[in-house]
Amino acid sequence: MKKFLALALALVMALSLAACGNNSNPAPSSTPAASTPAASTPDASTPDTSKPEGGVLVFGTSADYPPFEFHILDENGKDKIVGIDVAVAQKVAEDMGCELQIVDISFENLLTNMGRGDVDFVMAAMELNDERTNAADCSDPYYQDQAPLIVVKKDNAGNFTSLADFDGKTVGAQTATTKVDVVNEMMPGANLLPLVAVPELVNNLVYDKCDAVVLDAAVAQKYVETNDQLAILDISLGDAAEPYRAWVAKGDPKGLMDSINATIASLTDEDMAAIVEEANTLSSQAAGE
Amino acid sequence: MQAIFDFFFHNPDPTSFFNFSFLPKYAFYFIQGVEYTLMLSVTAVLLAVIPALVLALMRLSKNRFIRGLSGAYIAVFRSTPLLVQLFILYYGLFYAISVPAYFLFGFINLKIFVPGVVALALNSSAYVAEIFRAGILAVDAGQTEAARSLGLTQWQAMKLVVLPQAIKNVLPALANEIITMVKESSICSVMGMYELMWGAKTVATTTYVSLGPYVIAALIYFCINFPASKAIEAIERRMRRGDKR
Repeated sequence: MKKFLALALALVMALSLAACGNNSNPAPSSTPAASTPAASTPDASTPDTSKPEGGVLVFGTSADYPPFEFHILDENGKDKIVGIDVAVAQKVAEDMGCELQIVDISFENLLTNMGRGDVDFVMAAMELNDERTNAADCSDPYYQDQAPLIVVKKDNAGNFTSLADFDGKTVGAQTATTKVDVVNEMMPGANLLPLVAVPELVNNLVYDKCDAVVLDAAVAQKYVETNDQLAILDISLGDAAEPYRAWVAKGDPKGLMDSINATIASLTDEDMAAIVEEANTLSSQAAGE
Repeated sequence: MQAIFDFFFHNPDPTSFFNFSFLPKYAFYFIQGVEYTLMLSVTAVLLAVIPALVLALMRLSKNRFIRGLSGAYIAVFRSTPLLVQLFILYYGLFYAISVPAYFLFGFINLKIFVPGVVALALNSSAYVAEIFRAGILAVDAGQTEAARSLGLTQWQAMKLVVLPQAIKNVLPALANEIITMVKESSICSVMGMYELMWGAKTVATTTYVSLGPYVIAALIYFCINFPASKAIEAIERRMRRGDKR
């Protein structure tokens, strides 16, 4: 009996040791590495507002959405979250004289987590809509994308010339995004396939589970660039997308909105162009181009 | 040879199942994922063992109320999906109990890890309790009778005679529970825990290679669980060697 026990205990030990032992591998900080130290000299021109506790601004985003926010490995092989929204958030933190701590949460849970107080503000290519304004407050717009685009398989592109062609077809869109509204409102005859992440939408399209997917323009262009089975349809879904905004908890309990808006106002078109350019370059590098 | 290498590592099709071009550069996420997954599942099962034993003993109690309490717990946790339990614990219980954002080993954020471990452990304890109960019932009633007739109290008979024999019955099933947990823990990826499935998803989004990472994740899960189940079989065989029939 004792032998059996010893053997079993050894097994349990081995398993737990294996779990601990692996930690000596190159797996140091991931999210903390993504945060960078606060600017040592906060810009004197920015309005002086109350800083969050401890000088750390917690920023929530859903880092599965290149080029807006995505994970990369930096030159030291460390995990890091970058992208257009992250660069703007970084600017917000710098202007406040705070350190930015990035938290990666799935998109549909972002506002819930902010409501709980886990994060101070959220930027995740998030437009204005009614459901969101019920749950949180939004800033002035900081980025305007083109209208969403419809992506189909290149071979089927000829079958779709107008929105009416989607009657009875299945069209994918990311859960809890305005793209779902676009499908419901502009393609009333289509069946919606709501999925949580964009790569799954693309998989569904390539493996014939749906006929088309609706994606934000910048995201659609990236996927079509990297996958030559896909094509963007020349069907307009409006002149321009709703602009993206930063979000804080309902009623702005932490008093961040003025600082966020001041930072957004201070970003010139050239600043934004440079941020977008850099994010696109990083995304292309990460995709191994 | 080169052709095979190119097929896996220079595959131009981003939606191919066998496009592993990301692997040399992004192995980091899979290594970190394995560590996180093992931490999550092994901790959860170890945490579940003591509550499960208590639940099993309660379930075998003569007191109807105590028996019902344990039965209700087991019924609730076995009849609702783990994903729902995770959501309720994460946003409910662990909103009331605030865990500080402390980073264990630099990449395990306790604020997110602890709700995950607790959800898995509570779920697991319901299943392990049933394993224990079966193990205890499998010990012949004559053992208890003999112990009692020798003057041992009910509790002494349980502790000194029945439980030691029950442990032997239970260990293989318990080890299987760890294997189940390794697989089940993948559900924690929806909460942003950096485990293996999360790593695969992250690589898929960053590189636009949208299926290959999941194939690698499947291979890694298999490489953890298959040898583990073989090891358990070996231990089972070794344990049966002492049985006199």
